[in-house]
Amino acid sequence: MTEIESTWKALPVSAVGALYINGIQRFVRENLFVFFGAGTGFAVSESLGWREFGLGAGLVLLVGLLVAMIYHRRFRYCVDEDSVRVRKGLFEQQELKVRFERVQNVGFSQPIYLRPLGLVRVTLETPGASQTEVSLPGIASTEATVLRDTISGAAGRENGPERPVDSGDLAQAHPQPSAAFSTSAADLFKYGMASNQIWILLAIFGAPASNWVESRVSTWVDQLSASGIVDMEMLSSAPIVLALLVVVLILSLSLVLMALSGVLAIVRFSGYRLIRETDRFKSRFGLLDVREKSLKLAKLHGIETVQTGIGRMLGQWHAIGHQAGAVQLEQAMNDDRRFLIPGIGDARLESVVDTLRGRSWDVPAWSGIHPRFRSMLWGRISLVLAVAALLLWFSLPGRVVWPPLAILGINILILALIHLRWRRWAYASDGRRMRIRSGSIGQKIVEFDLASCQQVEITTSPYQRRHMLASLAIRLPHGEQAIPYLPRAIADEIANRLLYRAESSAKHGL
Amino acid sequence: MNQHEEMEFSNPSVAAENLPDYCNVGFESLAPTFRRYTLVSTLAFAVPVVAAALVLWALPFIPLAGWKILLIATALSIPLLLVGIFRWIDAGYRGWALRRHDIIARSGVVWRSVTALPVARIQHVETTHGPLERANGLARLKLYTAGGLTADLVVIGLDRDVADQLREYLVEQIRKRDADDSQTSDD
Repeated sequence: MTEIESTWKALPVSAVGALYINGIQRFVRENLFVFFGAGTGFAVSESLGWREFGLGAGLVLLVGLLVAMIYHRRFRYCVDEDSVRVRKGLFEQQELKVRFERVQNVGFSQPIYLRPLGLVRVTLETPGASQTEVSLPGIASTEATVLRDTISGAAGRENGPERPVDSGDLAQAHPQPSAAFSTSAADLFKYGMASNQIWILLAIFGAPASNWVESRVSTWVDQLSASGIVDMEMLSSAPIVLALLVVVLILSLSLVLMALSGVLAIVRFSGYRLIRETDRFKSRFGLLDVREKSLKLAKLHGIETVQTGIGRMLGQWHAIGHQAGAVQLEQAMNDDRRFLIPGIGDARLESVVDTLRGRSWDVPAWSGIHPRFRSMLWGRISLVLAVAALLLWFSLPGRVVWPPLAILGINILILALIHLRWRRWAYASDGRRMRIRSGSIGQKIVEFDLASCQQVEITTSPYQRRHMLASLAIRLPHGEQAIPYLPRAIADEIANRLLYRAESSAKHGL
Repeated sequence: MNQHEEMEFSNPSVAAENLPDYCNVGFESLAPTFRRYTLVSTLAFAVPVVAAALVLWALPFIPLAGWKILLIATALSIPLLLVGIFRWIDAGYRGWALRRHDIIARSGVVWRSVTALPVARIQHVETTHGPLERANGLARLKLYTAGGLTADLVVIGLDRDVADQLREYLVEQIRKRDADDSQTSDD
């Protein structure tokens, strides 16, 4: 074990820059909507010019620098034999202590601006809210490695057998243990194309961007009609051609966005490698920001594999290793904490899941949910929409036909989606492990050990009671999984089995 | 966790008919004073409405005739009365059961649900009682598991002594389990 002196230490002076950039990034990310509000206001207002904008931005940057310097001045950390303590705070002092055995993950991250300084950002994740996690925003990478090995050593002592400790600078050539899984740039590009992040970005940026696009497009249209290449009169008299043009425009825009998302995924996950050590998984990836994450095998409570709608066309999956404690919403908002394995092709999916599970599993056949799930939803939604269509038809002057017809068209679309959802929803279990599949166009499969169940709930509506059906909700350490519309006897049997496995296994929640 | 588990104990498969069935459990109904409590606590919301109506009635310069004010106040109180009646009926459908390894709660009139929580998963137990509950000798039992921020299972309308006994019993179970865990120390 490497000797670590337990004194309060300050961060290196070179870390001020890192704190500054990190702080500005976080400030922008956390106040994204405020920035968009301000940006839109700035664009709309005529009395504000570039000079005011520059002054405002300069002021923010200057204050940021001041804050970073004070933060650095007051930040102290101390590594003991069995814990890390951190003292920080701008106005009030806060002291956090994390015992090594509580640490689930040691995350390393080395953004591009830290690389020449030889610094690494270290995050110690514990089960629970993100406020309680300790992060050292910039320490020498050699020190970071020693710290990680100390923590792993503490875990190793607890678990008995010693584990191989790999040391080396994160940025430099690393001794390369054989990877259990690695992705190519092409796979990552496909992952980016299929991932939903671009649509979330579009939703955020959409509103301010649409103003700009609208003004730009209208000038283009003016120019085009003035140049005489396209005859606007002709276009407006041919609505189908116009509609086709708009569809082509939207499609090509989506393709550009998807390609952009693909490139972003390559930058973020470049050179992704998943490495299995004795008691943990480790992943290392990133082009500009090199990251390393670890996941203790004993803390892995569920394996989620996801295929989005576009991912289905491209044959692409990604997997998430779920740990206890992290609240689902928080995970969705801050995917930095998730243990994500991107860019898994159809053919390699089972081998990746086997790796995460630690052994192979002969998955039983899927059992679907009861057809009444579909017929009940079909009946009720059609009834509501048919009544709406009739009311609309009666209330509109002149008895126009197309609005009620449009409602009926939407109805058919919804019915098709319900059918897909019903067909997708299924479970597979051999009495020890279970898989639950859900989704409509895309799909999500969650696999877990029955023993990790935290709570079982069986709900019945009057309709379900009439037809001897029930819905099952299973609470796992990382969130809830539901199987609706099971025959009552089967729901009861699954619930009994879950309880039996949870109660006969010695291990508890954490 | 799977590997750990494989090492720790063998667990032969159990046929479905041999599994302990939660459906066979006999549910305890809630404390008899709970029905009175639901009605009183719902009608308590009507007090400000009635008080406001009476004040308005007493004030001479309000142009509305007295009976109109009373009518409005009554109309406002009717939904409350319906809620009170619903909760009265609902109280009859609630129940709880304690088995050796889990605690089960039942609730709901229209959408009925049965929730089972293994004792081995409970991290923390708490009993609480508001002033109205105290007046009726009631308490609620809150059970927390790992990972959740809010209570995972809340059993309301328990007799206060029963709630305290349950809490003590569960705390004792958790203490025993943690002692066993630290002996076999694997986590």
